[in-house]
Amino acid sequence: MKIFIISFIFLYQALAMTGIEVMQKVEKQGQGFIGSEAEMQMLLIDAHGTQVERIMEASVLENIKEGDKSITAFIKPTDIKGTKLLTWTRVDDDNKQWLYLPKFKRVKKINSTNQAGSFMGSEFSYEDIGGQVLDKYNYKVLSEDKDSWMIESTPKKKSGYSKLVSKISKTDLIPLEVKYYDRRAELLKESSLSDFKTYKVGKKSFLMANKIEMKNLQTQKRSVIKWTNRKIGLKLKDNQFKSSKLK
Amino acid sequence: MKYLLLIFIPLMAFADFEYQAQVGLRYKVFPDDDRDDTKDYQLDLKTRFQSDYEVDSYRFHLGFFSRVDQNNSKRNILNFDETYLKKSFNSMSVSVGNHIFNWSVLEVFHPVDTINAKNFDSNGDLIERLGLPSVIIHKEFETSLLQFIAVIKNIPSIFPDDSNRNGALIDFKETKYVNDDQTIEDSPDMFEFIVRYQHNFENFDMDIHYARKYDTNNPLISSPRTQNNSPTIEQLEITPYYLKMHQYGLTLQKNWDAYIIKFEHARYDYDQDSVELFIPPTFSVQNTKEDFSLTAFGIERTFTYGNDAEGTFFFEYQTVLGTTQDSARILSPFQRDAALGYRHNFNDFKGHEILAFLINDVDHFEERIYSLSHSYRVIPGWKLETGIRIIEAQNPKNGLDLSNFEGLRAIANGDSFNIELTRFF
Repeated sequence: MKIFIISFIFLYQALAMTGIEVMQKVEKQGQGFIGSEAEMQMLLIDAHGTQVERIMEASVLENIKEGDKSITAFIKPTDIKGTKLLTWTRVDDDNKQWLYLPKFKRVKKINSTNQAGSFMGSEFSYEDIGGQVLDKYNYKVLSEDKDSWMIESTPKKKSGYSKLVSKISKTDLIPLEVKYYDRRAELLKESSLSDFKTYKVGKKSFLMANKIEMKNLQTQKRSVIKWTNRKIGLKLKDNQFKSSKLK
Repeated sequence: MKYLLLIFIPLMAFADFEYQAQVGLRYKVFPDDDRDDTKDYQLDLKTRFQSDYEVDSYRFHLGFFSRVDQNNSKRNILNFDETYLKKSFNSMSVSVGNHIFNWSVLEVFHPVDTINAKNFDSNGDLIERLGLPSVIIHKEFETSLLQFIAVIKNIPSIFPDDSNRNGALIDFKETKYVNDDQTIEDSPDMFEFIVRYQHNFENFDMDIHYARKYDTNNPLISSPRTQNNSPTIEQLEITPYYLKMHQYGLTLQKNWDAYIIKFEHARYDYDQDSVELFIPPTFSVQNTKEDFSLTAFGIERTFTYGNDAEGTFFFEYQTVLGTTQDSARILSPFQRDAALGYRHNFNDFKGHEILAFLINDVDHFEERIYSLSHSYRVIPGWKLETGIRIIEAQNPKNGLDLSNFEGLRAIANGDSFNIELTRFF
């Protein structure tokens, strides 16, 4: 009996997925959207409940091999309307970013190594908004049940976080919640994804969250991003994602 | 321009339309200089409007700025700086109309920012560029672009009048162009064009251009002989002369760890032209402009603070090359200067931001500019900006003295405080 149980445990462990395998499945599930456009509303809420609104339009061009490209155009507040952020995510290097400043009519290169910085004063950092590039983290399965995995991600290079712990749905292969730990390994923020909607590109379905809430547990501030008018499967032109086109 | 505006009306019915507008009231005050002939304050009503209309592969961009000064009507301006019609093909586009070209990569010094004429009656860091009527043929490659820009009409720069504390307190006469065979004329006679190539390498960005144009940013200041052999300063015809030149420009930007390294260089080769400089009562010399280069480099680093705030330090240095130190003084206000600056973005709900910088002449250490400004969102849609600028330089001498244009002397009267309230739409 003991031999049977031990054998079963070894077999189970051999068949259980590793962290990288889980995340590879998650990444593959998210591939194939081709291009997307959406309007994003971001609410910033301080510890006293006061809130302000930011509105942006985001376009993303998928490039599985080299990394996605995205343009975020700021609509509100109106004093920064016309400002645009271009990001080239790099699978094997630091991201490249440019910012168009309408006040100076100039495209400015910005340093993307500082990904820990706050995005538009929100609880989302540039690292959060840019998404996880698989090869930039190490992964470990902390636990699992019949519905989900708890995956610990540890950045390989400099990051604002010492680790992230994500709850990944086994059915849909998408993150449901993420906990962020600061460089002192203390719990800093947690995010929850909701308002899921299914989008189709050809025969493939994509389940995407249209709402993410990020709560800073140290300051009690919150930020909420909502996507509206989201379209995927768009054949956007690579030409549009160049610094010369920001103006 | 009127034909482009006629296109605007029908396009509104069919096009995707986006716009941005702002209206502001700005008060700027200078220390009393004990002179009755200068204006010690400015009260501007400013507007800026930009809109885009897109129909299929056509894009019409309408952009203008205006200013009305309640205290000095000579400062009033309306300029359609960016108003053009653009037709896109696959990887090419053609754009006709008024354009703004700003290829500079630095925060304070801008050697390559000479394509557009300027309204020099505006703050150095937010100087107003005048729209250049031009045709742009633009070709995109995978990681680069090529532009050919043909100038349809030369636009002269605007210089502050003699009561305006933003300038040298000189009554400049109408701009003149030095054309072939040293003929001085009211209008240009040369076809102006620019060729530009930009490339995004893996590790750095490069931008180079060649321009054949009149130098509208750095004219030769001279005064021809008058009939009166003993003219007063008011009777001298102090005139900006635009000379033909070949301009070669280069910018480089590279991310290096947490820093951005920037380099900017421009070479100005003037045709061998000269204009008369009358030195009363009888003497005249031929005034020429030397060929020279402006080179600047900068380094920038951004820090993130624990409370979500962000700070950026920058250091820049600019120098004139290819001429003597004395000649360099008149070729550029920043002939050998260093700038140190810091921008602090609080990233709070009100969008508080502070910008401070110091520019110091390395050779003439007594010359410097201090600048401090603060801006924030009062309520959504309303922004308040305040700023102070102190210029330490020898005051210009009375009379026509070319040393008045050396270094920062031309703007030595420009110490100021300003406050501006803007409504954004």
